[in-house]
Amino acid sequence: MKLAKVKIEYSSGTTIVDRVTLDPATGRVHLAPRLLGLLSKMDESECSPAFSLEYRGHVLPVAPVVNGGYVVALPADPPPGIRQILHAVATPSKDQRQQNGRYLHTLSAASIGGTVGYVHSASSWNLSTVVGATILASLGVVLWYAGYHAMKGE
Amino acid sequence: MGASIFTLVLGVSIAAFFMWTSNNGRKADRERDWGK
Repeated sequence: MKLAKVKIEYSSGTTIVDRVTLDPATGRVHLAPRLLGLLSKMDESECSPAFSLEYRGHVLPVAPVVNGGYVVALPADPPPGIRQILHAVATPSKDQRQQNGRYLHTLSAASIGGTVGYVHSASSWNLSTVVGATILASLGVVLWYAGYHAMKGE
Repeated sequence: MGASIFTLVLGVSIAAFFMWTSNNGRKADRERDWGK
């Protein structure tokens, strides 16, 4: 059994924050009799509330079951070992996405600067120079857009 | 010409990789906030 924080929000604005016991194996949520009494009293005058439970940083919806009580679907644990590291790289947090975006913008600036240097260092314009400069300039735009996409706040 | 193509492939790969991870991160954030 583990302790977990629950939040029950009603449409009128009334919000109940309390702690419950949670069975991680079954996802069964055990509410204190005091809280159950409060919920049944609120049901007399309120619509169904939004019932959520906080578990390991996740905010999970709590659902009532037919034979009484409440249950929550717990997320699976992250895979162990090297897969956990790869999973962390593949799913960056908001701050990590910001850093990735800055890195991409640095690469974009390097591409644009490289284009200018490449063009100015060319002794004559030929197909190879034009193709190289175009590719570097295009990459500058592509990397800028990728950085912009990574930094998009939500 | 070969170096230019290599630069293009490398740059596009880097951009695609970070766009992919950004989408994954946003999806994970949404699941963490709202539940699966």
